[in-house]
Amino acid sequence: MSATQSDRLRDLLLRFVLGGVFAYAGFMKLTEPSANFAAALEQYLLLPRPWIPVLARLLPWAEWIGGMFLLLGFMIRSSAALLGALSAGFVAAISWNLLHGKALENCGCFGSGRAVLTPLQVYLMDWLNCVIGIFLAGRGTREWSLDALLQRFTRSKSA
Amino acid sequence: MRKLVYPAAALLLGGLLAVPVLVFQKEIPSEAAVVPAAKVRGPVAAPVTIAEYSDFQCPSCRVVQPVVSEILAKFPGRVRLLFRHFPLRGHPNSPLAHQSAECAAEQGKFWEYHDRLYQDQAVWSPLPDPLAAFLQFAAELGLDSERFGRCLESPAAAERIQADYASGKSAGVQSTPTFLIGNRMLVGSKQFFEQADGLIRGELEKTGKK
Repeated sequence: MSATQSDRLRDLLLRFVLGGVFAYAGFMKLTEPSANFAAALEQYLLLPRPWIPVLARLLPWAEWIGGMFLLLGFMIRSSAALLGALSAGFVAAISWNLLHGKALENCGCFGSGRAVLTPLQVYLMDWLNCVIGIFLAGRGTREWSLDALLQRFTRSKSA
Repeated sequence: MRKLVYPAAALLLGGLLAVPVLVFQKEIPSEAAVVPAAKVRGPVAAPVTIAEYSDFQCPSCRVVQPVVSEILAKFPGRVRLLFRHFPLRGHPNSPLAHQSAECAAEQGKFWEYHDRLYQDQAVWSPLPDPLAAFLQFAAELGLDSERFGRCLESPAAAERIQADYASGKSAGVQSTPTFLIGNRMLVGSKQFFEQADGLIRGELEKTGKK
């Protein structure tokens, strides 16, 4: 396998991992009452309280749609950037809590899904997701993606 | 062409992605289908029900009790509180606490036992085996000790607890305390403190009984 091929494969794998994590997290939260996620968000000292009900409804949609777009390879750079930004936001919120000596009891990351992570695991996962998101947004590799399909489609129509 | 394709595809894809969410979204039951009178506080025929999913070993559940009592006192005769068992996995003494409360219910003293469990939570919660404490509570409340002790082994009581837990899971309950008022869910003492009053007034308006 050439370096370019292995790079493309790596990017594809990272896209599936990041997209899959966020799609799962968003879907699990969307299929449950938003009050559960709102209660988890209440632990984050950085978030103004009036924002919490709105964030509890909007964030899961951003995760689900952003995650699925990335999984399907649609608007790859934008989706990856969005998920990277979300992860950066989570890192900032958790860091703020840690600085003020208030560890999270429950991140609310995956709703009632089977994945149950310790606070440290959540923190590390968010850092990793942030790095992967920024990396993929910069790369924009279109291996096995809707973007590649649409690009071929629009080129054939323009020709 | 490209300027149209991407926005159109984004809209289409976004719309399609909403479908599985709508299909699998849990619905909050608006009212308990069957209301066991033993675990209702307030008039059984009250127009508004607060269903509380609670864990006796949960500190937040203990903290919220005075607020719940205040709410019931604020709407006398118009609100009833329905207790639902929701023992959490991380609380090792919870199963026995809930079984004990069910056994007290069999002898008509559920709420007295409920209040005692929360009042003395700090005492029995850290014990490696709280059985002696629970038996003592039963004795002090004047319960038949032999009958209480037999009930602690009873699968019927355990099934009632499990039924409550299952009803909570299907409604989307994940943690305690969780309250259902109408078709709205309030999770934790903060949400209950901030929103219960308004929700109850809204429900009373719907029933026409302010």
